[in-house]
Amino acid sequence: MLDSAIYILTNIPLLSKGIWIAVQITVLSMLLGMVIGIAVAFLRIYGKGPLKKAVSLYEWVFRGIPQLVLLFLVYFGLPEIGLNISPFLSVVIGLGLCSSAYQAQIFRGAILSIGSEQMEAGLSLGMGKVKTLFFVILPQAVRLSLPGFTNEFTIVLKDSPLAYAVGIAEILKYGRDLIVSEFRPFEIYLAAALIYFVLFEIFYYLFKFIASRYKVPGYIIAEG
Amino acid sequence: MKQKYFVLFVLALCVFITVISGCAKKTAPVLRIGTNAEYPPFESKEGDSYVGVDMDLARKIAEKLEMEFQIIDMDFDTLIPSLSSNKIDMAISAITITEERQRQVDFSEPYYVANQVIIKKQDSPLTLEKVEDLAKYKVGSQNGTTGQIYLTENFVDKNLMKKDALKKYPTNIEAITDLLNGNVDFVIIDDSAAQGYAKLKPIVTALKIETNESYGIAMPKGSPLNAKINAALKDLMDSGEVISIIQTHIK
Amino acid sequence: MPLVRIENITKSFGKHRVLDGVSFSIEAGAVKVIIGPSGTGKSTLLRCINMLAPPDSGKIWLNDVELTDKKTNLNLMRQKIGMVFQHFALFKHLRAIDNVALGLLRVKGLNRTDAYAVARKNLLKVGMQDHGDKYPAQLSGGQQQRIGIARALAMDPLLMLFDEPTSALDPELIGEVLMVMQNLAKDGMTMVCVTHEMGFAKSVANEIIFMEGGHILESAPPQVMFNNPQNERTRSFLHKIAELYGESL
Repeated sequence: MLDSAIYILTNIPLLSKGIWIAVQITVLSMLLGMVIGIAVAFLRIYGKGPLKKAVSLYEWVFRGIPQLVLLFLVYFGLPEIGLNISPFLSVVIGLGLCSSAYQAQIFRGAILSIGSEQMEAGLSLGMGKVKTLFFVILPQAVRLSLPGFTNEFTIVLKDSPLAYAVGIAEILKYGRDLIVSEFRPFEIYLAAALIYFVLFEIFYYLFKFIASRYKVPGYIIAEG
Repeated sequence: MKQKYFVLFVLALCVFITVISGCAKKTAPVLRIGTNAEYPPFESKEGDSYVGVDMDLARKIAEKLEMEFQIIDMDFDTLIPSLSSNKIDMAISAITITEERQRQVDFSEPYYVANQVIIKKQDSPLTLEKVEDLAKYKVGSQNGTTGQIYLTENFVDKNLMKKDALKKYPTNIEAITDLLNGNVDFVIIDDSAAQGYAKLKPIVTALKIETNESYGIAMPKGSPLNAKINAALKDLMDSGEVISIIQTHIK
Repeated sequence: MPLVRIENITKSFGKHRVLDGVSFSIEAGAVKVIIGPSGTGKSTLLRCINMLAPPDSGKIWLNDVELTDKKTNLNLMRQKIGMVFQHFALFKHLRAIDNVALGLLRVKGLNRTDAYAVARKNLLKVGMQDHGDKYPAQLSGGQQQRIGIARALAMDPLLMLFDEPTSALDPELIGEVLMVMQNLAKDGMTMVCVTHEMGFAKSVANEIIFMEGGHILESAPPQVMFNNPQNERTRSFLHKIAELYGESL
């Protein structure tokens, strides 16, 4: 028991080499997902006709595709039409696109709960749709989305080990290399789980801090 | 409103990072070598370096080609798709030459002959007189390996063994772990790999199956590099370096 | 020349025809109060005037600029029309003073000093000068509505539209809002109000407009409207209101 604990502790630094990659993948995928997600959410609510339909289709499609499938599609499939994308970029695109569909839902829910009167008020001042979106709707939507966004972030963090499937060395992969040479899978997987758990906690508290900095009296952000 | 600029800045930063990471430094052409470094004594990682028979071979081939090389570690069954989609220039990973695989990739000359073995836990009372005896048991195998194909074609497809009696794992590590946990009775595995694992864990060979498989280097179909790689390999075989590399790792 | 001219507008939501050929005009300085049963399109009419709900047919002019013309710059024209909402519609993520200043900063393009100076002036006008730093959630309904009025006023509009401004308020808070509105009227602001506050209507309005079923059934100065309504429907509605409010009209 003690021996296991020592083994775990001594190998954590090795596994931690994968932390930077895992964080990079998570952050970049989330950013990609956020940019697309916000755009999709806005277009679904304020867009007209064919654009609105196209965007609904996008959301429907990417909610249904498993990340691994999309990842392989991007990494192995795209070369068939001449697009050769690096493993790292493939992971970011794969995770980012899948996340964008869920983030679109989060933002849409937030915007809808803001109410149409906010938009009306902005328009009545002569601000126009775009300015109202930017100065009135978006600041409120971002605050309301924070719990859902934090949740999605941890989901993407926990999906980052998929990068292993296209040969990227991250926490899990470093673990597997150790297992191959020393064959103590239980301790290594436990160590990896611990590292992910700590990462998760760090980001959770980071988001909590951000939420408290930007909170506005009157906006109740659920404890999540 | 400072929020907006911060967001824009972060977005710009991430676009910048992705673009940078996407752009490889395109100076001299690099030999991209794919492998699944979870298969000692042929390929595995010790710390940051790749070790094993295939790894030494790969280095020597790159030397002969006078090219820089890059080892790309991935799942075994993504090696062939990676060749087909131009992600790697060659794959060296104890890959058995089969007709099926030859339809998708080109192979070099064989550089090693292997057989399958059936391994069991050291303290297991089970015995096998002949191959056919396997049909009564649960047998583990690594995905995409000739061992798995052997059992599928000769047992499962012939209805001698139930489909779920042949258990499939991403790598031998999981198969052997399950063997030691008692979830499978036997594991089918290449003999050289079995040798490596036997040093770490209490497993023994229960039966040898003479399949006489040859390992070869897999390469993209019709790639201009193939002739050069093959020539390099031939040189190494003729000079006896291949044998000496093998003997360094396999006693 | 009337400030606002509305000519035969119709508006439907799906199959439901909410406005069915409504025409009237508003002179500068006039205070018009629109009354009538719920769902008769009173709020919709207001929203047609500033084109938040553009009419399906018909025309609207503000100072001889046709708002219903597709080529008209609506944002520019909307700066001249202030709107006050039933549920205040304050920007919840901004302080009271920021709410008032936002239009000045982002639409009129004033610099921060000027914008906030104007904002403070308007807060003073509605009696909220000490509450500028508070967020809407920290203010009572009556206070929020007054901020809403200040926000609309800050844009220096030619016309103010009030959409049931006190309907969402607790009774004891109604008075402070009505007082602001009365002062505005006294200062000569052109106002169109949809409201149930008959006392306010009696004391401040030039003209009461009674709407039902998407039509204007009757319009007259308060004295006439309340004492001697011509239309049967008007009479019955006013009777009901009188009972409800216990007012002697």
